[in-house]
Amino acid sequence: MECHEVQSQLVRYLDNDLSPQQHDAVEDHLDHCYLCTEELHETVSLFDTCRDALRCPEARNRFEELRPLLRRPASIGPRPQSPLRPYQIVAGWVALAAVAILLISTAAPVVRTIRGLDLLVARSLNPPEIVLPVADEPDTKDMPFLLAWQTRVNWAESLDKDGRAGNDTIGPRPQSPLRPHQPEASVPEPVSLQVSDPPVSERGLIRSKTKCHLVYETGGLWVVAARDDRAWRADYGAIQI
Amino acid sequence: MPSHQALGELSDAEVMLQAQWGSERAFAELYGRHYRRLLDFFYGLSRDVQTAEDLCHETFLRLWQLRVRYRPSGSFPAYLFTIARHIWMERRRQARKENCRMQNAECGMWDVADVYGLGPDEQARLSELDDRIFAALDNLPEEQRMAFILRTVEGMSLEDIAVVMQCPVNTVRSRRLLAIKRLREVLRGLLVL
Repeated sequence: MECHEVQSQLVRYLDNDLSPQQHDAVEDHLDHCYLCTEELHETVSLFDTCRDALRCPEARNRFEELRPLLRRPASIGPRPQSPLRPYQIVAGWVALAAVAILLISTAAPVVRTIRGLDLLVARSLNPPEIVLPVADEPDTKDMPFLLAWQTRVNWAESLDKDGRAGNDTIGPRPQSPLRPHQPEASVPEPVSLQVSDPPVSERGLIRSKTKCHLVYETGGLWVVAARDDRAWRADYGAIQI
Repeated sequence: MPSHQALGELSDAEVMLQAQWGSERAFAELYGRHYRRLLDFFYGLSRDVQTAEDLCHETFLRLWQLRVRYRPSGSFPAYLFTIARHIWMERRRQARKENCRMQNAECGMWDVADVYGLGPDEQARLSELDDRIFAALDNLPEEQRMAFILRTVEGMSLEDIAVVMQCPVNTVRSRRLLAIKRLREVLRGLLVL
């Protein structure tokens, strides 16, 4: 270790603020270097002198003067003044506003996703992607459940904007095909859906004016899927029956 | 209520927690433990015994008023000296304003001696070495002076000083080193080896 390196480390050496290796290296150097030892003594002397000079010559205990003030009703005193200057406060607020705008713009997609929470849940179940050629669309003739569902969807879509039946031929609201068969005690857990390779035993299409749904049953659950351009996706989640 | 002897065996944080419940005896114990250090700190900054005593008084009073806010999460001396530092800064701002008003001119450099004033007796008492030390300290930036005093005179750890001065430990190191370098230049030749 060179003298200038040691001398730059002397204060930290005195503070015990060096790593063990550095400490040993400085000590080894000091053992044989007169100049650095002199520098060390000068530093120690500087500290001692300053310590003596800066020590208050009188130390009068004034606790008894303080005691009456302690018995006053507790208060936290005046609020300390902010060390910031007005322009610093304004700059701080501007920075905060910028961060808030950034956060809101980042969070918007998340909020949209939460709104479509049903989609999120359905996707979290890793729904199967059922690829059906359009020509293979199954027939719904022999599927009473699907027919009942179809009736219900048609009825719902014929309502006007106020939710009233648009004409007299619509009739009363058809009963849900699900509810009569849905004893509350026997509702299965939705998470039990095994979707990796669904044993599709029965499936069919429901067409309405605006949407086309594929319905199939798997593991005691009815899954209603929607179709995009190329494939069926169980995006609409599962219906328990 | 623990006996006085038992109080003396407790740590600062434990005594402070008792003071938090309104125990004046516990507070007196803390006062006894830290008064001298605090006095030296303020004396080092102000060079005036009366001012140092007043500021100490104010610091302990503030500690008592703020006792409900105390949480024993860090070092108690660091907590106490943080309050002390804030009081010193408040006093300094106040004095600087008064100084500016009086002089109605430049108020750039803070000079402790100008504000607090040293009586003739006090000045006579100071040796040449002390004068040099104080003069050198007065010419240091406030933060360097405080880092030097807290470490060299008060013997606080660098981590505690960083808490008090609200800056990283390395900043404390560099401020102190700059202060030492400056003091060494001023006092070279006067130090007794």
